[in-house]
Amino acid sequence: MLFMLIVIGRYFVAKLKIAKLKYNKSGFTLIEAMIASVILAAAAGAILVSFTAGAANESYAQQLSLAANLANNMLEEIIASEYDDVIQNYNGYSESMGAVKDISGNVIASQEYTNFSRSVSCKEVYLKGQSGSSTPPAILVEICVKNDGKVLAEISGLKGR
Amino acid sequence: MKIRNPRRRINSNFRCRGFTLVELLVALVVTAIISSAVLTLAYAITSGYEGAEQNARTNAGIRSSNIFFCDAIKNCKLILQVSSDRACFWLEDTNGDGAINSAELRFFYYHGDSKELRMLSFSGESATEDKIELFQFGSNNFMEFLIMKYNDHEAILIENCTWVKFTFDVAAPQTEMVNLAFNVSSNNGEKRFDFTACKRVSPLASLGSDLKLKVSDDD
Repeated sequence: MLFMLIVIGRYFVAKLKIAKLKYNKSGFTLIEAMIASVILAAAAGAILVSFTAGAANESYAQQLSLAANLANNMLEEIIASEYDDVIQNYNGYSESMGAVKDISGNVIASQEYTNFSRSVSCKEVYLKGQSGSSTPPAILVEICVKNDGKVLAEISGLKGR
Repeated sequence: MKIRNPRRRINSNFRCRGFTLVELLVALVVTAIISSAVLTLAYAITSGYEGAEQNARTNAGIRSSNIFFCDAIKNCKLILQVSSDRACFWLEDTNGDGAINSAELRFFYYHGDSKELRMLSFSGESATEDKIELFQFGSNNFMEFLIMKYNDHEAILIENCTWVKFTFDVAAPQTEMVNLAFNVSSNNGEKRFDFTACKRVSPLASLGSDLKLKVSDDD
C-alpha cells in the first residue's frame, strides 16, 4: 500500500515537473514521504477503528442481554415469593458491584458478572381506577441492573395479592 | 512504444536495462515480507470473524432457550419432575381429558455425554390417550421409559454445556419457581448463564391424592 501511494505520488510529481519541462531525477522529498505515511496511517487507523468498534458493540450487546436476564431473574424470584413478604424482603434490596447472587444465594463468581450490580424497590400501588379501595391490590416491583455504575436494564412488574 | 522498438533497445540507455539480480532479490524479499504481513492480517480477520459468528450463534441459542424454558414454566399447568439435571412440565390439557398425557409433557434435560441441554416432547396416537399418574414421575427413569414407548422429538437447545443445574423452590409437584443455571464453553473460556421463571397458572389447590386433576384455567 505504501509503495502504491509512493508510486502514485511520484507519478503526479513527475507530471507536474514535466509540465515545467524540467524532470527531476532525485529521490523522494521529505514532504512526499510524510504525506504517504500520513495517508497510510489514516487508512490503517480507519480500518482498525471499525474492528474495535465491532468488538465493543458485541461486548455491549452481551452485557445488555446479561443485564436484562439478571433483572428478569430477580423479578421472577419476587413474583414467586409470598405477597406479604415482598416489601419486607425486597424493598431496598441491593447487591453491590460484583456481588450479584444466584437463586441459591451464592455470589456468581463468573468473570462476566464482576461489574454488575442490582437493586430493587417495591411499593404497594393502586391500579387504575381503584385508588379509593382500602388496601392496595398490588406491589409495583422495580429492578435496576447496572454495569460499572451505568444503568443497563430497568424493568418493573406487578405482584398481585 | 519505445521499448518495443528494437533499434532503441540495442542502444539502450540506463532506463531500458533489465533488473540486476540484487534488485530482483530485494524485490522478492520485500514482496515476501509484505505478503506474510497481509496473510497474518487475513488470518486474524478470519479467526476473529469465526469467533464472532460462533459467539453470535451461542447467544442466539441461549436467547431462544430462555424463551422456550421460561415460556414452558410460566404457562405450564404443573411442574412434574425435578432433579438437578432435569425438569418436566405439563404444558396444558390439550385434549381436555383432565389427565396428564405423554403428548402434553415437555422435558428439559442435560445430556451429559454430548454436553447438550435438550428439550424433549412426545407424539404418537397412544401418547395423547395414556393417563399418567403423578407417582410415575417419582421414578428417575420415567423419561427414558417414555422415550422407549413413544416417538420422541428432541431439540438441542444449547451445545457445549459443561455444567447444568436446575434449582427449584420446592419439590414437584408443588414447584412454583425454577432456575436453570449453566456454563457454556467457548474459545474465550466458560460463560455462566442463569434463567429464572415462575409459574403463572395457579397451583394445586384442588389436586386430589389419586390424581383427579382439576386444575382450573381461570385462577
